[in-house]
Amino acid sequence: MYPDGKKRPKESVVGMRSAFPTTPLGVGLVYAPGLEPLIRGEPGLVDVLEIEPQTFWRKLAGGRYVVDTIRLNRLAELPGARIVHGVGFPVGSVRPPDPAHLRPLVECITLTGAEWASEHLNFNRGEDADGIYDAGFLLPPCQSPEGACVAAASARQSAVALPVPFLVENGVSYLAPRRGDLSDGMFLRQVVEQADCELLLDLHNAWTNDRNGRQPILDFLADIPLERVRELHLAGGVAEQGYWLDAHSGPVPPQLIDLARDLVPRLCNLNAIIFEIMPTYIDIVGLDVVRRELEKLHDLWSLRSLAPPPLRAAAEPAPDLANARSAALRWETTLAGLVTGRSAADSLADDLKRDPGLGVYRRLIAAYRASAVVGTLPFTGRLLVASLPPDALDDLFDTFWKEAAPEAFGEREARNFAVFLSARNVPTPIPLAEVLTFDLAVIDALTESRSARVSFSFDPVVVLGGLADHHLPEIAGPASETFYVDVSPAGLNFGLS
Amino acid sequence: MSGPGRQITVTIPHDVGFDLKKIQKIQADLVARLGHTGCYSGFDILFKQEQEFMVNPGSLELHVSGR
Repeated sequence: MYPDGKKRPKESVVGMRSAFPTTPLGVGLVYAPGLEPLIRGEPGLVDVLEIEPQTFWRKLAGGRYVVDTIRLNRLAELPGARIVHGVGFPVGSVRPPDPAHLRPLVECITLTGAEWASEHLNFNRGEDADGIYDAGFLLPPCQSPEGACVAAASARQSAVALPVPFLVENGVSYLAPRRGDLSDGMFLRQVVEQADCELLLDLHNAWTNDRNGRQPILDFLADIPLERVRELHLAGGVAEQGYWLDAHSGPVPPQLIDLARDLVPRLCNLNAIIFEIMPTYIDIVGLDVVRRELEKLHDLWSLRSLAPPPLRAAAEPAPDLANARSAALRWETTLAGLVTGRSAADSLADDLKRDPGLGVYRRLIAAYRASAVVGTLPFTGRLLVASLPPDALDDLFDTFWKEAAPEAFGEREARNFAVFLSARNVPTPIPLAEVLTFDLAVIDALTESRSARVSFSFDPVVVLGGLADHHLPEIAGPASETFYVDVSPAGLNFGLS
Repeated sequence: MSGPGRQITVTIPHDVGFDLKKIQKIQADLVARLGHTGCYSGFDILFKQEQEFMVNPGSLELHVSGR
């Protein structure tokens, strides 16, 4: 719903505009299916939906991306304006984002009628003798003047390819500040001014950096061009082993709300405030908590500046790229290699190995990958968790992490792990191969509309029902009958042959 | 990409205390996880959560340790 209570106008679905909407959008949240009761059921609470387009994509074997238009088009029923927030093709890298992502990104912008698009000022790929690989996480860019120069070039390249305005989001770094680097704020200023693009200010990211020993947030806010801030992100986090993590795990910390209360009146071009919560946490904290956070954001929204925006500083001329590339390339190759367990042995690698933040990235990537496996192969995952001692499961995962680079697309990670698992004899009380075949058949049905009959030597109603209920069912031995489950896009049918 | 709405319905032929809603939720959560991971720089706690919820009937110990 727009702030005036009207539904999104139909012409906004055209999705081709080069300017920001004249009416600011208001308060919103990042779309997740679990939030639909709030989005649908409470008029005026959610003015704008931020859609993460790549969560609606598949990555095909040839490296092509396709949009799941069925799922994406379902969102058209929901009220409110739309904005698109990229999560897979960050612009903080010396390597421009994979050009194959542009066509599906423009398709998503057009289908959703998004008012603008944004991406992160990070990088997420490395390169070794076998080529470019996914690092499995948003990593901090080379934060030197050279790094700002290559990031600005990448942001410009994305901005000119899109049919809507483009915003760059400040990122999180768990690494200690490095001597000779730009401050977090000055780096961000140089990138957006050289690229001449707008800003998505993630206040929780900046606060996380402050809490972890990087630039104090008030200094950061003094460094950045506030007149370029079009969108504000707010979220919650958690403390873990001495670090504050940008976990999107619940309510915005009260100190951050206080900070936002002072900041919002200074943001003369603010168009939206967005609350971010990770889907896994929605069930944990509950929708009432999300509702209360949105109400706080509405209070903040009422404080925004209505004064005419000041004159904007001219864009900085971009420095020569020739010398910038090698420094940024070295940074990205070294850091991506270290967080994914590759060997590196130069002075930069030695410095980074002394930084405890490196261990944070390794733990986060491992947790992400393990969650991707149990989330996409849910019954196999639960069978493994129930059958193996934690140390044995950790060892199994560690072996997989070493054999296969991370895959940011869940389906790809699931299929890679299934191949890995099929080649091993992992002892489980219930045949692992049967449960794994079932999980893969469900993925095939959902992604490729394929149907299959999966045979079981045990009653699958008991096995899958038990695992769904988080316990390993007690089964005396293989049954005399043969059970099966027909898996198809239309559903699961359990039978006996 | 084709498919009838990206949802799997479940029909069960006999009653053994099978919780249909739980399996439907598992399938719904799966659909949302097949694409690219979302925007975050923190822990994805799903694996930890699975460990905490799962009781191993062999030892009857709650798996709460691990990663």
